[in-house]
Amino acid sequence: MHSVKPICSRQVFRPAIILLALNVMVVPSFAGLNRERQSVVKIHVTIQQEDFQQPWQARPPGSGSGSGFIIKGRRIMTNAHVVSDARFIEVQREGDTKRYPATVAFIGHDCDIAVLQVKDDAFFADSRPMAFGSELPTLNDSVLVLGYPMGGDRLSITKGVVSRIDYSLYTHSTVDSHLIMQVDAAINPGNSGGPVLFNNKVVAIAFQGIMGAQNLGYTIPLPVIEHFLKDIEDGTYDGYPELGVDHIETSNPALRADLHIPSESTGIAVMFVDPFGAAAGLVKPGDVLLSIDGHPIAEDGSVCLDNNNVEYSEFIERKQCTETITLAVWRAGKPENVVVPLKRKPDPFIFRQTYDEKPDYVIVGGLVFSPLSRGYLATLGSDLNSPAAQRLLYTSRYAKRDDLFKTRTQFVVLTSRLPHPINTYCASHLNQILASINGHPITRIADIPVGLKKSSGGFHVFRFEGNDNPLILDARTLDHADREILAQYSIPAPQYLAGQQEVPQ
Amino acid sequence: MRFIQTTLIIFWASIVPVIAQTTKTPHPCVVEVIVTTQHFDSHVPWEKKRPESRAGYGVVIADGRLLTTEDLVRNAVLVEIRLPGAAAKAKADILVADPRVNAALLSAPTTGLDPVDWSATVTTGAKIQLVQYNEAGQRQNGEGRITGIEVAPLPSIAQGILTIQALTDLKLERVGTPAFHDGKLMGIVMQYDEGSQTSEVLPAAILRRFVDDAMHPPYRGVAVAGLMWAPLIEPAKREYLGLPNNDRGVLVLRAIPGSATSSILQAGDVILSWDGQPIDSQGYYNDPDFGRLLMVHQIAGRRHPGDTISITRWRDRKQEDVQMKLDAYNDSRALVPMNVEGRQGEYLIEGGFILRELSADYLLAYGAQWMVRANPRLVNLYLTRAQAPDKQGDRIVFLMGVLPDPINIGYQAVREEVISQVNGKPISNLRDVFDIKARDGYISRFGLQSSGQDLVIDKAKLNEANRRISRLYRIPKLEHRNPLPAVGPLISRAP
Repeated sequence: MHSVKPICSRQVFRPAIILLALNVMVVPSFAGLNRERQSVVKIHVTIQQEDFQQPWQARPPGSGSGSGFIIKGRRIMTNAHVVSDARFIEVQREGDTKRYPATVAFIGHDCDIAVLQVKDDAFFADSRPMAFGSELPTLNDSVLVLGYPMGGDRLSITKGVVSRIDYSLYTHSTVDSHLIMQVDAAINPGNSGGPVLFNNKVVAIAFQGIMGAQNLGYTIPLPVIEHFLKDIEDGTYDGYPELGVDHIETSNPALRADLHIPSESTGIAVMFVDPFGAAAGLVKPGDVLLSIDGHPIAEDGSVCLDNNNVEYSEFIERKQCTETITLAVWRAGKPENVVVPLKRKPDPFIFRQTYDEKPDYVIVGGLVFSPLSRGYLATLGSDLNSPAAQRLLYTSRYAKRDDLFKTRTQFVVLTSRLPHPINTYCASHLNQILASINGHPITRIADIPVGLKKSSGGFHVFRFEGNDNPLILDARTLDHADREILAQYSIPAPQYLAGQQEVPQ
Repeated sequence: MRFIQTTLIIFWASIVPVIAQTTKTPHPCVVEVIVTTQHFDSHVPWEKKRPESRAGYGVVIADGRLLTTEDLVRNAVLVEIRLPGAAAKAKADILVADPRVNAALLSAPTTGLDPVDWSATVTTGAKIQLVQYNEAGQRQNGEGRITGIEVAPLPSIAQGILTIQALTDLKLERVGTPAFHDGKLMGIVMQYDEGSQTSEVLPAAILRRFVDDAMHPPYRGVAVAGLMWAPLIEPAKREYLGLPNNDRGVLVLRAIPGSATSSILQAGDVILSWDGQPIDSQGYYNDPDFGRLLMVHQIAGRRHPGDTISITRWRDRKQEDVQMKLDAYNDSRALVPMNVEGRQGEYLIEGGFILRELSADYLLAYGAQWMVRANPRLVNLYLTRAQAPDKQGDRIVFLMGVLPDPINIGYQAVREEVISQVNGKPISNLRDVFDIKARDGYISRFGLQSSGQDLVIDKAKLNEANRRISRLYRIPKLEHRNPLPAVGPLISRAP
């Protein structure tokens, strides 16, 4: 089971990938669903997560299971979190004793959807891809959830109604929010990736729940699935474009007056523009967004779409990275049209949970340095309630707002110390952010080897943010100590920097 | 860096029937101190929490003068004393209470009670006697043995002070329990840990200095050096700094800006001797009375504010002797004051916007996990810059939250944002906000840090809204001005 703790306040569990007891559940006969039932598959995975405390090795492998369903093109759709960090994937159809190896064809961590492929055509024998519905059900429409949840081995079908359609956090990446469809059908660990049917057509994928809540299951609705499928048409998954605008509603008449918004217009006031968002440089604080692609934005940020009020960002949600969006902006007392080319810039400061990526690290004199990441923060647990770790928490949340990112591309953290005589007295700098080595500023982890090239009179002087106590290593004995430490602690390589060749020991 | 963790083990007066070990007349110098306290609510600054009552002990140290711990009488609304087991109570007044020594001097009628004799210096291993009384007024004698004498943080503040640890055979029920050595007062108990049966005793050496100071107004308080330092053990670091590898000297991390120290010491200096005594690489010196102690005691336990000490410092590979004048700690100089004594925080409520100055008690009120639970930016400001304002008088003004009212529709979810401007004017502290309000007559525009758009409310409707908010939320006063006194954190009234 994935044990990723979201550091956001909301407690959401990821109902996936649990192997459970052998109770045989009586599957009720849903005679009319025979065809659909045959297309719902159980996904067996062996996962191995990264070890952010010991980044040179992975955590012990574990097994789990989820659900998926066959779609056209001989593929299987499931949740990204079912197959993230997977080392080995097998798929099994209902009633089939054989498991077939599968591989990930496309994975979207921001929308928690993945598509798998199976080499062996025998797997698809007599199968028919499940069809997607053409529109979302509305509130109180009956839906069926198919999958392989805990409590048994065979297919389970639960029934419920659509209870809410909302915009909400997707916990897999911990930072992305998209449309969700909440249903009251029982959704349990193992259901993840299973289809939600309305009139025998797929309209959503079951994916997460809220711990302690009852009759409350979250599903990924059709628009998000369609976005994913369209995105991968060109052979790569790009992800959602990010507009990067923080706003405040203009329901306050005094604010409207202050911004000189004409009485016949509505809109939202821009408070902050994310430097890594698509709107950076095009929209600025104090602007009022009046409409998006011609649809007026209400003063609370909603837009009326198909007789439903949805967040204005829903319009960006439905676009791909290559498209543009047109914003009518009220600026300096007059309206202007701003065309924003939608894109997704690499953003190291969003601190999205990463998967299937080896963490970067550098070990110097037994001091293990890694870039600040959500994966590392998640390992801190109760240690977060300490001054050094709190600074990391603050940095991860306010890097952009408080301009902490401007001089760097990564925050390099001393994550652990491997005790050795060279570092006996260096324990007090744990979890602090490295500022410089020998006066050379550390703007990313790859700067560490550069900073170490020239010592300060035979010593390497490490300085940390907000700490006037430098850490000093004897440069003369460092090489020898490094060799000893790697051997003693069974570390295959002194560093791993993505995109650079591994240095073999 | 020596980050002094404060563990707070408070024991209130709990009614636990105990079998009296001996039944004698009360010790003539000990009284019960019954305190009714009412703390301000750090998160609702116009409200006080429910009054609580607790009891401890006080020791008569002179005619009409009693000594107890400061944390017992903190935020007291009423202090009373009575003889153990007696029904009659008498009112007591707090003359001086200083959280930085955890001691309080009370004034109360002490007719018929003898002042204690002070014990001379005690040493590790010495036997001590403890005295407490049960509800019936029966005296319980306990025995203890001193297991350690060291500089340790006070129960509720990161101020290091000479503390005696003693293993005791009596389950101590109350704070302020007197401890004797050969019938003379050697200290009063600050806290007791039932698991290890260990008492933390504030020693006579500290108490006598406090009494001396408090009995001779004006009260001067505890001297501080305004310094952060770290041990200097690493051979590589010593060699890098050009120091001989001889277990001598500690590294200066930071001198608190604005303190007297800041002109004498700077980050990177090494302190080789401190007030004339050689300092080892872990910050210890050899105290003539108590042996190996942290250098903190030389200032907090042996000096007074205004005293000058001599220091041998190592800077740029040169040894120099310098003189330094000591200060008293002054909370009003901090960017984020400690407010240990829990004073009512200043606030201004305008159109439902609650503006405050950040202080440590606000953050600590989030509970044990405060570093994770409170707003990360506010916590970070406290942890990294509390004692380092850019300029004298700077504070962090923040919008604690918005009390929902028609005037502030649209802003009601905004909370814990740092406010950098009001009415378009930059502000450095809440006084600036009060001044701008006094001049303009209103605050209608709030500028949030790192946000390009102010929050604006209708100034024409402000008076009416303020009246409505005051009535609806039952806030007697929409503003509270109570600037920190320049003398530092202590209650001091003329005896």
